[in-house]
This record gives sequence, C-alpha cells and structure tokens, in this order.
Amino acid sequence: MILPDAPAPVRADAPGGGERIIEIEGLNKWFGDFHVLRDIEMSVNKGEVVVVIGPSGSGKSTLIRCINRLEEHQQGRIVVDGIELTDDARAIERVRRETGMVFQSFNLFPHLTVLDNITLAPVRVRKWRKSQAEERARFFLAKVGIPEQEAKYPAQLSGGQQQRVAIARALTMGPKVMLMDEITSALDPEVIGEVLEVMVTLAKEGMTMIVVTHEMGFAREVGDRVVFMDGGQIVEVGTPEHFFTAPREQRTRSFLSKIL
Amino acid sequence: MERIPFWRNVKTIGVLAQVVFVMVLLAGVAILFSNVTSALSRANLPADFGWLGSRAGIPIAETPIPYTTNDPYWRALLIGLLNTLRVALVGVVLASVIGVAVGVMRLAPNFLIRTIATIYVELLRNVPLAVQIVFWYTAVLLPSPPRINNPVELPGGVLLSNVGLAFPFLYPGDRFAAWWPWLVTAVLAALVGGIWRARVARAAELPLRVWPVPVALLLGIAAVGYAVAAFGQPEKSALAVDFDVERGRGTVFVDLDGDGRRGAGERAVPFASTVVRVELAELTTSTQNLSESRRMVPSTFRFPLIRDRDVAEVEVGFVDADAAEQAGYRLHFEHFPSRGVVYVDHDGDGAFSRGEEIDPVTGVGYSGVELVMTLRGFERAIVADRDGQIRTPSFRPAGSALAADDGGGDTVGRGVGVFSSFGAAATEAEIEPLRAEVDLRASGPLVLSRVHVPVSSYEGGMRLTVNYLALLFALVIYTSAFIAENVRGGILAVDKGQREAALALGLSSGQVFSLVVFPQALRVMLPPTISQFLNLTKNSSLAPLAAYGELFVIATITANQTGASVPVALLLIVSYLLISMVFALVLNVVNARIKLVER
Amino acid sequence: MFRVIPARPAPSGETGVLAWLRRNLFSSAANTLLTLATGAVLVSALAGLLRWALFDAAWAQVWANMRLLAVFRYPTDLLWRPLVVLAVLLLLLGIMAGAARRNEILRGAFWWVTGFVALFALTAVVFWPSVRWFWLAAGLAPFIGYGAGVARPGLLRAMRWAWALWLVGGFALLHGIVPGSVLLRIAPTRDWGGFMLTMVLFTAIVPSFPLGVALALGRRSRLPAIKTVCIAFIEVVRGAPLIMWLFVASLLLPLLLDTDPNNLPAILRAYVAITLFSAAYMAENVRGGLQAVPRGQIEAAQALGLSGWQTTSLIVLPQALRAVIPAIVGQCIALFKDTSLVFVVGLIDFYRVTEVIATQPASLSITGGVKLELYLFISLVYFFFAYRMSVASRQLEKRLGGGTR
Ligand SMILES: Nc1ncnc2c1ncn2[C@@H]1O[C@H](COP(=O)(O)OP(=O)(O)O)[C@@H](O)[C@H]1O
Ligand SMILES: [Mg+2]
Repeated sequence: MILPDAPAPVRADAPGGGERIIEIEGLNKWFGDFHVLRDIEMSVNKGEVVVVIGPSGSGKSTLIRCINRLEEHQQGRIVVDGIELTDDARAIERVRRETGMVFQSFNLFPHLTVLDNITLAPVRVRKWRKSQAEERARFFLAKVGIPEQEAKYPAQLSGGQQQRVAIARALTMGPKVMLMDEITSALDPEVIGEVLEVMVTLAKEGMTMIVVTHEMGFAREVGDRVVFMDGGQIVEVGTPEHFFTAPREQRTRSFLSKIL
Repeated sequence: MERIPFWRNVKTIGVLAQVVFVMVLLAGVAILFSNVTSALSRANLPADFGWLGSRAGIPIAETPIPYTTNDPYWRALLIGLLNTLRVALVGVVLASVIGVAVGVMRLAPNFLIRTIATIYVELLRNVPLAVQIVFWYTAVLLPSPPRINNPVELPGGVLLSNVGLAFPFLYPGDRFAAWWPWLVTAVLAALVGGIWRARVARAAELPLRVWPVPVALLLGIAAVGYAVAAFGQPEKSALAVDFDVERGRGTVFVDLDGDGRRGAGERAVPFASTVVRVELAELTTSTQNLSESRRMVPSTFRFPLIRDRDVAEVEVGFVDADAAEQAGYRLHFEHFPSRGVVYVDHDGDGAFSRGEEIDPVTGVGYSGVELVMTLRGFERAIVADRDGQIRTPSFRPAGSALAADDGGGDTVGRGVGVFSSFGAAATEAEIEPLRAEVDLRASGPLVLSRVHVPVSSYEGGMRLTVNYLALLFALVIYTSAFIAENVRGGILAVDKGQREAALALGLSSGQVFSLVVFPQALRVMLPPTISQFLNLTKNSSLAPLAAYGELFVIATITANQTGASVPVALLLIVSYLLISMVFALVLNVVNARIKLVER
Repeated sequence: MFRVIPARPAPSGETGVLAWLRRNLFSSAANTLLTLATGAVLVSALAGLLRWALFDAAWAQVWANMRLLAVFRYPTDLLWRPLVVLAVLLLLLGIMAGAARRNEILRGAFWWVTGFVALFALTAVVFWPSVRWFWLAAGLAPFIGYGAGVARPGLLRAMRWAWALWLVGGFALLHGIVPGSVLLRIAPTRDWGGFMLTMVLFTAIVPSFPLGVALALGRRSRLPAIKTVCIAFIEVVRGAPLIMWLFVASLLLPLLLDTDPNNLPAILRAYVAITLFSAAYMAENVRGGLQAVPRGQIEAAQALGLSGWQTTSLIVLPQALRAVIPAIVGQCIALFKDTSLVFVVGLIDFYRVTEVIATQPASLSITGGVKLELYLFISLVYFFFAYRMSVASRQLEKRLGGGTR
C-alpha cells in the first residue's frame, strides 16, 4: 500500500527525444504475500542498453521476466513496442515474438541439435520456411563465433558455447529487445570473455538490451544507463560513470563496494 | 483501456476450457447414468444396497469371525475383507523377511549363493502371479501332502495334510476378562515409558537404548496381570457340555435350566477347556487302494489319529479273523495304531517288505478288509471351538463291529486277532454300552488349544487351509523377489565413500553395515517396498485361482447371486480405495520421516 | 641411478580361474562349507528336475496341444492369418532393428525374439505340417526385414505409420472382414485364445499410451477442474487391482452402453479395461518424466514465443518421454504378465488354456496329470519375453545414466 506521505518512487526514465520501446508504470508484483516489485517506474528507448544491478533477491529477474510475461504482474502497466501486456493472449504472443531472452542456465533444448534449437521458433512461430530459418541461424551462429557446431547436441558444447548458441537462438527470431538475466554467472571464468564479447558487439550494433549483470566492465563500455535495485525498488539510476564516481545512496555505495 | 475479446483473454480461456470440459464430462456421465438406470430397470436388477441384509447362503471355508450360510450378505463380505487382510498382513511380514534375506544374498561374496538368489529373483519376477498361484495350489499343495487322515506330524504338534496346516494356538480362556485391563495398562505404560525414555535420552545427549524400557514394561505388567488373573475364582457353575459320544460331537454351553441339554436360548461358550473320557470303545475302518502324493498306496488303512497319550491301551485287529487268517493277512503299521497296510507275508520273513501289500494274482492291493480298533481308557483334553463345539472320533460300543459282522453269519463269539504292541490277549466280543464323560476344567486367561483329527478334518488349534496357504505362498514368494531387488538397490545406492569413511574411522565391518550402510539403504528401499506391500494386498484378489474366500471372491459370488452388479462394483472399488489410502498414508508418514532425517 | 622399472606380471594366484574360485567360493572355511553344502543341494535338486523333465514328464501331451496353446480354437483353415500378422510384426521389427543398427539395445532384443521364433518355426516346419509354409515365412520375415532396414535406413521414418497400419490391419485380418467369404470370413472372438489372445491383449499398451500422456498432462494442468478429474481417475483406477476392473468392466460396460451383453464380446470388454487401467499407470510414469523436465525449458520455449501446445509437444514431452522409457518398458512387463488375469471374464488366454488341456481325458489318464508340464512350459515362455524386456529396460536405464530416481 502506498501511504499518502510515502516518498515518490525513483523513476528510471529514458532520456527524452528517443523512441520509447518499453514503458513500465506503477508496476507492482507480489508472490503470495511477498511484495517483490514495488512501484517500478521505468522506460527504455530504442537502441538503449540498460544495465540492472542489485543484491541477490532484490527483484531484478522478476522485473525482466515481467517484461515478456514469464511472470504476471498484479498492478501497473507494461507496454512493449506499443503493445500493452494484459490477459490478452494475442498481446502476450506478440510481445514474446518481439523480445528475445537469454537465461543464466542457458536452457537449450537438450533433445535438439544446435541448428534445430535455433530454427524451432522461427519455423513454428514466425512460420518461416525451414531453409530460410537455417540460413538465418547459420548467420547468427557465425556472428556469435561458433559456425562449426550446428549438428552437435547442447551437451557436447562447453558452457560458453552453449550460452552463445542461446544468444543466437534469441537473435534469429529478430527481436526488437533482448532481455539477459545474469547470462555469464554460470560460466567458468575463462569463457566469460567470449560471451561478453558477443554482448558488446550486439550493443554496438544498436540492439535494445536490458541486461542484468554484475560485469561492471560491460556496463562501463556499452551501458547507457545503470539501474540499481534493492528490496524490490529502484534505488538509484544513472550513467555507469555516475555509479563509478559518485553514487548518491548509502545502499548503492555499500553494494558497489562489495562487487567492485 | 481497450477491452480484450473473451476468446483471447488468458484468464477467460482457462475458465472457459474448464467449463466446457466439465460440461462434456457431465453430459457423458449423465448419458451413462441414464443408460445404466434404464438397463437396470429393464433387467429388473437391484440398484440399491437393500440386498445386503438378506441371507447370503455362501459357504466360506475360512471364517475369522463366526459365520454360517444363514448370515446376511454384509457379513459374508465382511469376512471376505477380513480374509483379505489375513492373507495380506501375514504375507507382508513373510515377504519382507524373505525379501531382505534374498536381497542380501544377491550381494553375497559367495558365487553360488549370489547366483541362486539372482535366479530366484529373475525367475519369480518374470512369470505371471496367476501361474504361480495355480502352480502352488494345484500342482504342489493339493496333490503333494498326504490326506487328512494321514497327516505329517511336524515338531510342536503341527500337522500338515492336503486339507492344510494346523498348529496349536492360544485362545482367550475363562479368566481372559480379568486379564485384559492389565493388557491395556501394559500397552499404555509402555507408550508412556517409551516417550519418557526417549526424552531422557535426548536430554542426556547419550546414545541410550530406548526400546528396553517400554518392552520391559509391556512384558512385566502383562505377566504380573496374567498371574493375578489366573488366581481368580473360576466361575464354571453354569456351564455344561452336551456330548453325543457316538457322533463324536458336543457343545459347551451356558446351562440356564440345569438339565444338561442345550435348549433354545442357551448360549454356546467358546474356548472352554474340557477333558473327554471314554472307558471302552472301538473304531472301525477298512483297507483301500489309495493314490496319495502322486503315488499309489495299496491295501492302506487309516483310523482317526490316536496318539499314545490319548489312550491307556489300544489294539487293532481284523473284524473277520478267520477269513484274515485264511488269507494270511497281517498288519503293518506305519504309525501305530492309526495308519498302516495289510499285507501277506510271501517271503515268510515274518515282517513286511515292499510289494507284499499287493495281491500277486490280481496285481492290486487288498481292499475292503475290515479292521477294528479297540480303545481302553481314552482320555483327551479338548479345547472347545469358537462356536463351543468339541469333536472326537465317532466311537462305537466295543464289540459292535463283530456283532454286526456276525449278524448273518454262522460263527459267534470268536476272538479278535491282535496285532498290537501291547500284545494283549484276545477280547471277548460282547457289546458293552459306551460310557463317556466330559469334564469342564478351569483355564487361565489364555488356553492352549491343540490340534486333533477326529475324523477327516482338523479340530482345535489354528487351522490354515491349502487354499490360504497356496495363495499366501505364491504372494509371499512373488513379492519377496521384488522386495529383494529393492533391498539390493538400497544397499548399492549407498555411496562407497560412506563405507570407506566408516572403516577409516575404525568401525568394525558389522558396525559399518548396521550403523552406516543399512540406515541409509533403508531410506532408499522403504518407499518402494511399501508400494510392494500394497501390491501384495491388491494381488490377493487373485484368490479365485486358489478358491480362497477373500473380498473379491465373495463379491463376485454376491454379484452373480443378487445381480446387484453396480452396488457390488461400488463396494469393491471403495474397499480397495480405502486399503490403498491406508498404504498411501503409511507411505507419506515414512517419506516425511525420511525427509526429516535427511535434513 | 635412475632406471625405468619394467612392469612384471602379478604373482600367480592373484589372477586367473583359480584365484576367481578362491575369491568367490572358497575364501574361508565357512565359505567353503557353504559352497559345498549349497552345491550339493543344488546338484541334487537339478538332477531331480532333470530326471523328471527327461524321463517322467509327459511332454508329448503338451506338444499334442500346441495348437490350443498357440491360438486355442481359432479355425484351423484360418491359421495363416495369425501367422501373417506375426510375420509382418517380425518384418517391421527387422526393418527397425536393421535401420537403427547402431542401437544395440533394439538390436539385441530383436535377435532374441527372432531366435525364439526361428527356433519355433523350424520345429513347426518339421513337425507341424498344416501350417508349415506360413511358419517358414514367419521365420524368414525378420531376416528380410533386417536386410531391408540395413539397405534403406530411410524406412525408419515411415515406421510410425507402418505400426499403426499393422495394428489396425492385424486386428481386421484376425477378426475377418468379409462375412461368408472363404479367406476373409469372420473368426468369432469366442474362438480366440492361447498365446495369440495374450498378444492381442498385450497390444492394449498402444492405445493406453496416448491416453496416459493426456492424463499426465491433465494432472499437471493449471486448470483445477481438469486437474481434479485427472487425479481422481488416475488414483481410483490405480487404487484397485486389474482383476477387479476386468470383472467390473465385464459387468458394467453392457449396462453403461445399455446394450445386450452379447453385443460386447468379452475380449472387447477386457481390452477396454486393460487399456484404461494401463493408461492410469502410464500417466504416473509419464508424470515422473514431466517432473524431470526443468522449469527453465518451458520458460525458454515461452520466451521464444512458442504457444502452450507447442511448448508441450515440442519441448516438454520429447524430453519427458525419453526419460521414462525404462519405466514404460517395466510397465510393459507388468501388463504382459497381467494379461493372464482375463480368465476372470471367461477368456481362455495362454495361461488359461492349460486348465483346458489339463482336464482333457487324455491328460487325466496320465498318472499325476500334466499340470506340472504345462505350467513349466508356459512359465518358460512368459519368462522368455518378460526377462528379455527387463534386460532391455536395464540397458536403457544404464544408458540414460542412473535411471529415473
Ligand atoms: N516463483 C516465486 N515464488 C515465490 N517467491 C519468488 C519466486 N521467484 C522469486 N521469488 C522471490 O522473489 C524475490 C526476488 O527474486 P529475483 O527476482 O529472482 O531476485 P534477483 O534476480 O534480484 O536475485 C526473492 O526473494 C525470491 O525469493
Ligand atoms: Mg536473479
């Protein structure tokens, strides 16, 4: 409940002038009685890279999973590419088609080859011809740097390779927004670099991305804005530079001191 | 905000799908229901449970609670359920014991033992239970054991025959009523003592043994109570026995009018302890050519089973001694005085040798040779049955066999040839009236009932029919193979490192197994084993193959007799569901405890 | 000074037959005693069994009734029909085994079955004149199939349809299609029996599969009404034994459909009961597999925009079903054995034929009867198939890595 004298929530608005692709207003979500997202106000422009940071359990995953409706919210509005997420099955379908998601645990389909993993959705959802889908798939496989592995099964690949396949899988659908949830956290240190490299390339090519990560090097290199969350709220918003030099809130400072 | 059309709304789609589903389901059920009702009314079959109270008329061989064919259907079905539980509970215990043994044998270091266990498991798991039941029933237990009048006597007074297995059993005696409050107290004390002991053990943080305290309390109080109850005053006054010695039957009852005869309204008394005495009497039989246990036994005679302690003196002879002498018949006892063969001493060695019981001319045995057994001072302690019945062989007055034999003959008053270990002199044949008396004796809280074979059935003790045994054997052996696999799997599932760590700590290999390996294995093997228990119980419904009267058998007979197929089906389904739910409950409790331990 | 020490053989007594014997049979005095005692008992028991089997047993009476055991009273002049169905079955199995030659488990099972049938075919060709040539065909079919499969692995893709066709066509052929004709006349189901009937009932596992999958999915549904109904069905059916359901079905099906009992042959009623019963157990097995599919798989599919149905059929089920193949094979074994319960509705299956044969005058005139011989024979046949399936199940479990615990 928002008391009348409660402080106004911190807004993570995109700079004016850009084309809004995601708008989140007054978002609230509960798991049972647990208030996990509180008065989230956020928007993202086309081509922007937003990095979300915050301690474990602060609601980062829940927030970006709300954006493609893997989680259902109870209050507020989420609009993606002009489509509001409601109980409308068609809206959900369209939003999911326009957003790509990459998971911490890869979630490649173990019973399908790399190529089938990637072409499954384009063929079944976008109704492309198989050959067309495969052509696109090979293009993106080459782009993420693993052109030779298309006939293998996920279990035959290293973690870094699997995660890059997962990125290619999301990209082949031609999404307007990429959602990435701690996608390097489950990787061995020596392969984190290869995944980050792909992410940087993507960002530089102008892909709209919302990235949950604690790789501050990535944030500094390509991040447009950093959003710091804690306790289900947005606590502080700013450029990466702002966070490195002059974080305003005590909570932000203590968090950053732990991860940097 | 734009309204979402309902067919695209994820919430309404869900609700709608359910509504449609339920409606289709209800429509289907309604159609089937109307079909059933119209079919039932057309065929004029009962759709209610009114028939439950009417006379069943189903003969049931094994009745854990009193039952006659005049009892109503509900009682017959109840007996069926009790019989299901009787075979299931015993089966579960035996299957566990054998299963654990075979499971451990599967991992034995000895190659032969291991192989035998493996063959046991694979063979039994992969042959249908139905085949195993009929195998035990019709191929082993029906033909193999000797007939009831020639039972195998096993140590401890256990008898085995083609009728089944019978063994001495304890039943509540006269003073039981004085004892059971003590029993209740003992159980309660054991519970309280166990809880108290567990608390102490936890508080002291010592590995104290919990179980000796409740066990000692239970046994101690029960024993003291038994002694106290046994010293109470017997109240025999009103009891009497109505005994017919010629039929060998009697009933112990409450003699309200004191006339010694059981009249209407005079209740039979179960488990009364009696002693039957007959001064002088005889039994007759004649020889037969039998086939027993898959082989021919020619010239065989069988008297009711008489043991040494039953009589002061006994002799067996031919009814027609002259004819016997002429034919050269002699008697050979396999078991004096009840069982043996008639033979002719061809080789003249004065003793029986194999082949002499067959007539060399006809090639078959001597059948129809009449024999008489004369008993003096017959005295047998008999505990009345659950329905107050006592049974003895049906004695005849001494000399009556001869008299009957002489009825149309010319010779009178010949002696009876005697071939007995007593070597007593020949007795003059004259009919003496039978003199029998039955004493009632006081008993303690429990009374030990021994097994007798008065004619051709067991009396006293606990009696298990071959039907029960066949079903039990098959269920136990079949299920034990599955349990053995669970046990083996459980033991193998314990990480090798656990064993090594325990050994490294200096535990002995016995301790390693009992303290480290087995407790962990138990967790893995318990849940699947409990579901095997349930399987055993459900599989007891294969009883028709062994003609054992459990729930399913009684229910099928009931459905056939009454035509109440729908109510009987409902009863069956509900009964089995209840049984399954009990097992599910046990399983849940066990699983919860296992989880608790793991944390 | 350092020198490489060459490997030397282990001292004798550590390896070889003698060492094995010592370790496994004579490791200690007690163990030796145990070995000798068990060995003596085993040898005498085996000797007794062998003596009986070779000299006393009336195998001739069993062989004389082989037709009853195989097909019961199925018309003699139509015996070619079950044999054709069998031949096609073996042909299809052969194609599968040949095309998937690298699958050792499939191949192993296939050669076992083939060996069994070929052996039987050989015996039949020699001793059983009336159906000699069809048995020969049945004996050769698996080899032809295997050859075809090796030559054209592409046939594997058509197999699903071939199996469906075989099932439907097989039923039609066994039952007969054109009343009154000579070749395709109706063979009344009351004459069906023996091993043929056991196999016919065993095929109930096929329709029970989709039903079971549907029930399992329903049980995991978000929608409470569907979920409740599925749980109730599964638990009620599993709560009571199959023999009771067979009995109940044979009583109630005619009432439920309000038709004359004679319109519903006992085989049909038993088939329905077995299918529904098996479906409930299948549902529980499949549920185990569904639970083993990580939640992330569903989320990834949803994030890609796959619909609920696509997610289930393309992502969840393929993974779930693969994980429960061993359990399903286990269920096949159970069902194969449980077909023997149809005696309760008056069907004369492979087991029940033994009762018919044992009460023939010719059997009764044999001292001691022929029950032991019959039970031993059918036990061996049941064992042969059930054991082979359990071997396959264990191999599958091992290949899937530690099973589905
Ligand atoms: N499905 C769920 N049900 C209940 N609570 C959940 C669920 N998912 C997440 N939570 C809780 O919500 C909070 C936020 O989770 P999450 O968004 O995963 O945090 P983060 O990604 O920032 O670590 C945590 O406290 C977590 O325990
Ligand atoms: Mg997270």
